[in-house]
Amino acid sequence: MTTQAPPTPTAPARVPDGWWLEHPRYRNYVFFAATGVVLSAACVVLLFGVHALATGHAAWQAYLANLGSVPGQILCWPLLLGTLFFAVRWLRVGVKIPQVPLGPLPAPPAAALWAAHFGGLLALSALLLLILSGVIL
Amino acid sequence: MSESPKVIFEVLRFRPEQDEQPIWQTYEVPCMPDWVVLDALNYIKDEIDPTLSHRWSCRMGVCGSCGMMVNGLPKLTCNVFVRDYSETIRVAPLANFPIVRDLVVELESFMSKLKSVKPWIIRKIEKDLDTGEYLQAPEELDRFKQFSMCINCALCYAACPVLAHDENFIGPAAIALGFRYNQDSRDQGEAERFEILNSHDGVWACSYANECSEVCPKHVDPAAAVNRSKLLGALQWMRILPLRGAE
Repeated sequence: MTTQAPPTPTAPARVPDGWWLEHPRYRNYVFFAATGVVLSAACVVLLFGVHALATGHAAWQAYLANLGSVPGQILCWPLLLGTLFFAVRWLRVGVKIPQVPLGPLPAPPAAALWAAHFGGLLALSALLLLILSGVIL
Repeated sequence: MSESPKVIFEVLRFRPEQDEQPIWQTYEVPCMPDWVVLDALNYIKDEIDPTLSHRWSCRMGVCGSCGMMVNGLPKLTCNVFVRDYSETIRVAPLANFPIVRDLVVELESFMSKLKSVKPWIIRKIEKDLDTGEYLQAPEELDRFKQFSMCINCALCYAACPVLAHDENFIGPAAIALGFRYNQDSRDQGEAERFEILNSHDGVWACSYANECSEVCPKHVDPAAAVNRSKLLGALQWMRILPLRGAE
């Protein structure tokens, strides 16, 4: 008859040094995770805009006026900066994801994905600026 | 040796028979200019304090045994020079692993996680030996080659903030290993690995910290493997992509 050896006594695992704000890379990651709140708030602001667009011209003008007001600016600048930080930080990992063959399709080159990511970001930002400045719509 | 500059080493000690919790112990080590941190630890063991315990083997960044936290970052101690640090160097066991003794950590869970992804070639029907080997084109090898460079040093586990809070996460090295076999043209076991890789503790627990790829001493990119597995897993779950080895 055999007896099972007792488990090895161990000290608890230590969390990584510098977690969660001390080490620069961890700090960067924590801010990236926190942009979830910023993105949610930005989506709410944009949803109000979509609703205003659907309601009519007067509602849309009122929405633009609210965005341009001092409280609107105080709200929107942090949202813009947080969203831009998210978009750039996302690229570090996000651009790696599609670099894999999908069935018969070969993996797209990394340079094309970087260009598409930043190009898409710039194009969408420009489109939004044109809409919000009244050039379009 | 007496003329060599002395470097202060603060080493985290844990002797279960006498320490209730890990404590820092300081050693003054006369270091030669070409020493790596592992040389200094071996000097402490040989000349100052034979009770110090640490793992090491090849001394050339291949075996993956000597991973420790050096000034807070996971490093292979045979791979980092003492001269690249300031006068005080802090050495601790790998984070996110229970400590067995001093700088030695418990790797049982790590090994179990590696095994859980079935890191071997799975065939539905094996070929006869007479018919020769399974052939593979260079471009097919390129699909997974970098992921086969992992030496299982566990530095990526020590750096991962997800593992710091969720010990059940199967982790970067295991996922990279599973991905490596899923991408191998000779393998037909993707369906068998699907459940573990796409479980709650699998790829979906990763939250894009990317630390695993930052600290890998062999320049493997586990974050890419994890997040490509998410893409493939989602497309396979939606049946847009076939799952190799599925009935």
